[in-house]
Amino acid sequence: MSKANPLEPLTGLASTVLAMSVIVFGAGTAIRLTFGLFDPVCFTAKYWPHDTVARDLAANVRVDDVDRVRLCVDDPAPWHHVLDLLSDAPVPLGQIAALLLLVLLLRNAARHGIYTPGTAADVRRFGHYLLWVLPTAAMVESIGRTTLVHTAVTFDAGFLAFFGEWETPWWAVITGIALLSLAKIVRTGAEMRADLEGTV
Amino acid sequence: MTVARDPLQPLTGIVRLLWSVTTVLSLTAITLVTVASYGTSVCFTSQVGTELIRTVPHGEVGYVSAGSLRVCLSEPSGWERVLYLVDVALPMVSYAVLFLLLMGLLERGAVEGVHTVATADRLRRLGWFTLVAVPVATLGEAAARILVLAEVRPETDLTSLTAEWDVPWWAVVSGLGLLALGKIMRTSAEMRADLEGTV
Repeated sequence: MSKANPLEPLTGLASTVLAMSVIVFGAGTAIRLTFGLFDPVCFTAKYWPHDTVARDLAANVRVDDVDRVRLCVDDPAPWHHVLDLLSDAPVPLGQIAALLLLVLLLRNAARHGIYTPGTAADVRRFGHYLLWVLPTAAMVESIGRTTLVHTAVTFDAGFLAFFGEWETPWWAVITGIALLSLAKIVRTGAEMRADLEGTV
Repeated sequence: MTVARDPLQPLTGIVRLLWSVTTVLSLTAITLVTVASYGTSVCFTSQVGTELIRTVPHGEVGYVSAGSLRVCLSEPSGWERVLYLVDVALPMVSYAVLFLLLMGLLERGAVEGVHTVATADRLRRLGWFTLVAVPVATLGEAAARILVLAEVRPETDLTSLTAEWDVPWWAVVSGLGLLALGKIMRTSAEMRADLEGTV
């Protein structure tokens, strides 16, 4: 039907990135759940009300304020480790799952054809996944991070601070909505093709 | 060939809104930096160079170090103001152009039809822009911060640039996806042209 697979540079790259991320994330998590249990748990507070001392600055330069401070708990309890994992694992995990969905989608499309109801459903599922799951994962991370900070300081770190910490993955939201549109186009194309085949 | 409703619809409206917001933000930032900020100091926030700060420990924690560094120049030169402009406005401008291209693609696609050679060309152009221009814009932003930081911190070098550069992987993957989609649209446009020729 077509000379070259139009999905090709993308499928190869997505598969490679998926394999690499699984290896890196898997190794990282394995180290964390074994040797990492003896390390201090470190996290970042975005707001820091105290004075800072700067050194090695040139003349006419001053440090304005410190707005991100890294705190470490030297003897963490098990719940520190749980919150730590919760505060930076959900988004990478969600991204790896998104890559997996993308690779499966591309493989199925290459095998069964692009303008098919199956591909349209896959594209729609992938769009909904990006639109809902990745922002939720980012919200979970933000709640984990702010909970760690709340338990580590004696000043009021701010109730509902996790909304400010929520790094909304806008690219996922926009790409997700775009994929929903694309799914409609693919579905229309699939119906048109079915009609044509019926005519012939 | 009558379509019940525009399949591009929720998207076109959102993209138009995002384009307006990013354009207004870019223009406001450029105006404020070039016109209104003369005589005031400029501040940069960087990820590298945090060892310059020692913070006072507080609370039930082991030790404290800074997660990011904010450097202010009280009497910035013209060149430093240009660097500040790059730091503040460049990524936002690249997003504004990205949304402009996407808006053009969607609006022309709704009028002329999706499966056309022109739509395929616009998809290809948008794909290359996303793949190349957006990462280059964030690299430029990081380079501007590193150049300012180099005046304060002598050991700043090229490795600091790679530490400071937040590579927008979403742009690389989406750009490749758009290029693939462009190829698909071109194939289906050719098929449609063939079919119309047959009929």
